[in-house]
Amino acid sequence: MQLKKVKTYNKAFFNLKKPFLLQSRKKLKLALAASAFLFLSKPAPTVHADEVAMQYLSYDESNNRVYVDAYSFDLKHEIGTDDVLDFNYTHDAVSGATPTWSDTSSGGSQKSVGVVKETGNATPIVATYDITPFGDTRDSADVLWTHRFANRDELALGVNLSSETDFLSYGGSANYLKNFNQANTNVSIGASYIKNEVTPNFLANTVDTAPIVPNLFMDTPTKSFETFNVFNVQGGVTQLLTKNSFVNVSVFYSRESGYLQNPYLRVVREYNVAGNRTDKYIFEENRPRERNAYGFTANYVQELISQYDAHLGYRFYRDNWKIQSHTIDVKLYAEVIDNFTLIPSFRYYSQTKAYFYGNLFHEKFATRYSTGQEQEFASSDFRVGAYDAREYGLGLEYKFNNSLKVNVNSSIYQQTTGLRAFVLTTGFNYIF
Amino acid sequence: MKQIINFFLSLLLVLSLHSCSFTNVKPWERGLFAKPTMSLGGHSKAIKRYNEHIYFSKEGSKGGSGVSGGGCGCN
Repeated sequence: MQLKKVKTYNKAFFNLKKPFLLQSRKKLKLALAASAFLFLSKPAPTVHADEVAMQYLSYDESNNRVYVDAYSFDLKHEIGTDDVLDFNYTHDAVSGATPTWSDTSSGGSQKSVGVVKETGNATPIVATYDITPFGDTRDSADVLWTHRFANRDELALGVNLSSETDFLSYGGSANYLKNFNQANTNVSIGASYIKNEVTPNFLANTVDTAPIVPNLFMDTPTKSFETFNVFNVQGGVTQLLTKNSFVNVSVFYSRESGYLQNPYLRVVREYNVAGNRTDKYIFEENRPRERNAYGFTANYVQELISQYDAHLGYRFYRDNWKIQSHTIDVKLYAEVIDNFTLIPSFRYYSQTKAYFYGNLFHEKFATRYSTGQEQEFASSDFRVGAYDAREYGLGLEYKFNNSLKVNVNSSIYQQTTGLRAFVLTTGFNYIF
Repeated sequence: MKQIINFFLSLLLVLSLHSCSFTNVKPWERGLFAKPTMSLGGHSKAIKRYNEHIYFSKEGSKGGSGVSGGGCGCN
């Protein structure tokens, strides 16, 4: 209505004869100013663009190693024009079987690599690398509040909580984004702090009540409660290059300290004892209690042709465990038919091994110890070993209308360690 | 660390020096950047979160995807 009034004034203004115009210009300016004031001072109509999304995930590793069902719920709520509240809740259930060492000297089936404790006794204890079933659930929630200032800079504050039967994590984050160069360039800096509590329990039968090698050489798993903290900081620059492309470059640093090992993993250590004999013992893995990592990411996004948007990303990572990795991401959003978007993607990942990693699954841990060196760092976790990974993905999104979109995405993730997983997600976004 | 900082500072310098040569995109020309398929995280936050979780729990390195979000007992 107010716009129509202004138009009427303009029409009247141009239809006026010049003498009257000259005499009345001041009055008209005042009238227009008053009209504009009324228009602007009226409460702006609130344009809500709230959004709700739900997404399901199925993650299935080959050989029934790990299976995950996850459900997530996202709600984005705009408060006026300057504040946005994002809420997420995720529930996932993981089940499967994990290999672990167990004592089979009492007559259990010996179906894996035997590890013999020879010291002193005539009867060796034999342990095997066997599959133990497990299951766990996780519930996590996080809330992120974003405030836009008058100059369109943004401050985002977040809190998060994640709970499993043997793990609790909680923390907060803050991020500030500053615009430059008429918002063609923006710089962001953020930090987060997460506190984690670990309470190993789901392999209690193996770990606590039936010690694998019940003697002083066994690193008795008495750790019932441990903590570790994670501090992250990240800074980045985004630069618009053209009307349809931009680049983002970020650097990051993280510091983890505390109990950083997997409480359920074991390692085999070989000891040179007196004479030519080598003894082997099973211990809990032992990792350094501090990890400092840094790296950078570079991302380039461009609309290639109308409705074909390409993403190209690279990440470099390095830490003081001597792990160094390179990640390349390529993704294309192609609206091949009206409202149908195909999303092919490819990801390549490569990492070097941590300096304390030994491939103990095959009992080829080259490092030899002397008695008294039980606390030397050692891990058989393939995730700190050297390997490459590739992921091939294909997604489809269908837009019913401006409010509702549904998607289904699948990918095959495989590592040179032998891990192979099929990932399927499906869900919807609804704007209201 | 020094290499990363040098790289970043060099890039900042290059961006600064060449910012004049970039097309100065006007506010009314930025409609394209509002498309979810043009955002850095991709078209779905939930899918990005799932993917990050898989990489976090199956790989030895992490970071670079922002500071928000929680932890996981996947060590």
